[in-house]
Amino acid sequence: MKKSIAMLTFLSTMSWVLLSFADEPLPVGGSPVVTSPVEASKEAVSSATPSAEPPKVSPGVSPWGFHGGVHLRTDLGTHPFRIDGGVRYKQLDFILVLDPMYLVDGQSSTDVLAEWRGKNGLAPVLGWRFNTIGLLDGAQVQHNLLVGGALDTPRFWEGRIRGQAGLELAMMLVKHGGGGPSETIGFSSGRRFVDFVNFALFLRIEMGTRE
Amino acid sequence: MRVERSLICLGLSFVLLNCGGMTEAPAIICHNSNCVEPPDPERDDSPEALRESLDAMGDGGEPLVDGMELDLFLRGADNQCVFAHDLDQENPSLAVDAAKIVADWLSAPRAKSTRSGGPYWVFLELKGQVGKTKAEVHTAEQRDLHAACAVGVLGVLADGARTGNVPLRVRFTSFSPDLLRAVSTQLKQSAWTNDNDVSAGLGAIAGVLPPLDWGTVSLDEYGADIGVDMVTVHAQWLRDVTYQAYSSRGFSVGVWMFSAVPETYDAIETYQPKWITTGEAKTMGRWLDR
Repeated sequence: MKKSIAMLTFLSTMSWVLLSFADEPLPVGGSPVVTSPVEASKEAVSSATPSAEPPKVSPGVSPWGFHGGVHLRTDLGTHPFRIDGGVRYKQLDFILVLDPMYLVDGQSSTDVLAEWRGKNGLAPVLGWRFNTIGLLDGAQVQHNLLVGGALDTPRFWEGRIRGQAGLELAMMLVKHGGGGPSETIGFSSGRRFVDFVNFALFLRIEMGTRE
Repeated sequence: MRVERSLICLGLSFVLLNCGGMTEAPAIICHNSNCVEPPDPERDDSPEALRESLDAMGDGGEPLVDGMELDLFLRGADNQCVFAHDLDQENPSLAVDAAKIVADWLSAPRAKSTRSGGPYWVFLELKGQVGKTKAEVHTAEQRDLHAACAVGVLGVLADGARTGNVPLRVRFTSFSPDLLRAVSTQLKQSAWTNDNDVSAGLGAIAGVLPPLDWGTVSLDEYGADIGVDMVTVHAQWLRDVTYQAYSSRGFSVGVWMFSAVPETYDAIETYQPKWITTGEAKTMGRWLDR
């Protein structure tokens, strides 16, 4: 019961925080923060006067961006619902995925991901996943290499709501802790790696600063 | 707007809370007679690993497992029935000798023989190939030899269990319906009868699915004439639709694995198997007891 209440409170709070992105205030004057170079040039031309200095072009899209959202999947490799947040610099996006459903069964999957957001909407993904498996007197930790790719989904609300659908390969390299001996992946026999290599599909939905 | 958001958040949270939990503890079966950690496939189906696994105890001195899986391989080159996972294994023991190790263990008096306190399970997996590759399958004569070997192993195990007064449940398992059919026939010919002390049954095995591996055959191939009443499935390759198919045929379901990952544990929570065949008996027990 305590776990349920804690989980309920945590999820409600997180959902509230995410939805609060909708209240991101417009800058003074009401114009968007981000202006594309093309639009900036048009504005500069329309407001130009013969006596004025050559107009300064808007700096355009900020190289920095921030986002938060949900990380969803239907396979059993992680919990179906996790939350993520990240920071983008130019095309490189760093994402941290946390697992609030740890409170339900003592099992968690935490991802650290790096994405290169291609201009065509495709993004190769490289990352590391720390799984913890709750045991009687502690937790076993499993380390996974993640490799995959993601494709942008349609964007809404001037790009503040966006998403990615992707495919990942998770390869468990080593597990240890929980009072047991360590085990590493091996390739001398199929029995040493068959269970450790898993594919999965995922969907990310995020809200963030305009891109 | 704030009220609407709060309701959305609460609704989402309630949906997400509907998960987790096991209703009945499954029996832990020692995979390939080798479940002392860390998993080491090179020791699978060896007399040394079998003895260690039989004697393995938990932190509190209780048995780690509820049963043992032994692989029975008919070596086509000399038609010997050996205790082996495949022919990569050097100098495998005869299957009947491995059975005697288990029978001796069952016959020795002990306070508790199984982790759960229930009967002792032995899964006798009849390997579906007689050579190094899966393409080398049994001839009709070899099928009969293999089935006779398996029924002979049952007799050895039954003697040990009756001597030790340990309730024994044996399941002949295989990826091959033809092998199970041959065992079923031999059980009938030998007038085998189940009783409260010792009983035998037949089980299908499913693993990695085609086209990655062609070992798993369609459920339809296990005809009603065989008498299969259980199936053991690789935990990461069990799907809802196949689970429903097993249920519709009245099969009890178990899962097997080489080494557990989150998918394994989640599959166990989702499908609530009757048996877990694992090479990590201690870890699995500590997970179930958490």
